[in-house]
Amino acid sequence: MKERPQKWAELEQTWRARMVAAQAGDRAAYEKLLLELLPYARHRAARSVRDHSAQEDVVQNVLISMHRARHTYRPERPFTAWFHAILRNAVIDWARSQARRAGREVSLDANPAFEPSIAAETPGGDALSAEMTQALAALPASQREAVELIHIDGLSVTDAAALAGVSAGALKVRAHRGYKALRGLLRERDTGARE
Amino acid sequence: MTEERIRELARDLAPVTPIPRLRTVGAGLFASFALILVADWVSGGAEPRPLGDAAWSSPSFLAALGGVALVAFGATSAALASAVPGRAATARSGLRVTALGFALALTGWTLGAASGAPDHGGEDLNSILGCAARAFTLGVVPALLCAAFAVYAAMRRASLTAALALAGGVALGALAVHASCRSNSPLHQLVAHTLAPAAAVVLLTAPLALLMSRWARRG
Repeated sequence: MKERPQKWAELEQTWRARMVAAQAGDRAAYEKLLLELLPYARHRAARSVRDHSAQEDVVQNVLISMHRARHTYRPERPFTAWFHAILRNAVIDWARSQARRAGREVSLDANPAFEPSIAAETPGGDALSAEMTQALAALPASQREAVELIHIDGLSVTDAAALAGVSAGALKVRAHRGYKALRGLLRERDTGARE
Repeated sequence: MTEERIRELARDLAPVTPIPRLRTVGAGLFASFALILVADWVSGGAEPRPLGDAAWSSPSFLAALGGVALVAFGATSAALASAVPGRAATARSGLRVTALGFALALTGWTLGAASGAPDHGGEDLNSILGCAARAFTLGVVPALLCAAFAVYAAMRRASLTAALALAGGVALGALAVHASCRSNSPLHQLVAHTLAPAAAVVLLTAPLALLMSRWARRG
């Protein structure tokens, strides 16, 4: 786990350099970048979308969104935060299109095929309980993101803050509020189940 | 299948110029508004209140002025940032500043109404519509520039971006109007100045969002 932040920093440097080259028209660098991002996109899609056949659609949407929005990346900004935003937006767009296709208004939380950024497994390999995944989904987006980045993705506070685009202090506050809200939600469910 | 799509995307790759920094875009937007103001004054538009005017030391007037300025800055920042992936935190901060600005401006009105500020007219419908229309006119170009940047970047929700661009642009116009309007009536200042951005959002979001969606499809 301790090696992970170092690996992230290296990946950030490599991907940033490849993206800058891609913006200048370097096709080889772009292909390499997309191929390197593919497992990461697949992993994230698998964590957010249960339907296996839909996961690949989401991944392709991510790649197309990234291609269309490639001019919005600024070299002085963290690449992973930019990519993470595109990834998250593609998953949300996919969930919305599914809801529209179903011909009825379905809230994202209620869509059985979609669990926003809920991890299927933690870095340690322990699967999250159904109660925990539901409680996570009920958190405000900023708190959920903080809890996921630190405790599910296993990032350091510094890396997680860079990814979320906020200061380390602000991320800690969000994560703290998130844990507090999670505890409250789980306690409520527990009390409800006993009654 | 996906690997094949990656090869296609790489094959079709064309060089692109990265979008300018958000602060550069914001500065350009405010500079364009400054030019519009100068052109307005040169062509006979209302000048700001003289420095010795009692309004410049009135807490209610200054609170409304500061509030509208915060709305202009916050909404414009949020509109620009919401169209750039990875800048969600900036967009959220912009929304918070906008809410704070509205609260401050409304506090200004409350202070003015509570202090029983002398009524210097301006409560008739014509005066109110005149000031609101002037705020719209002065703010339309910054709002359109903001919308155009959002479409050029990676706009996601046209209606939200349109609402923010309108709130920001018209708040800039309302700022100039508030600084130059001679009416000291709290009601006039509330309806014609402070609420002008909100009125623009209610009336013009749908057409601007439609226009932005069309630009995005063509782009």
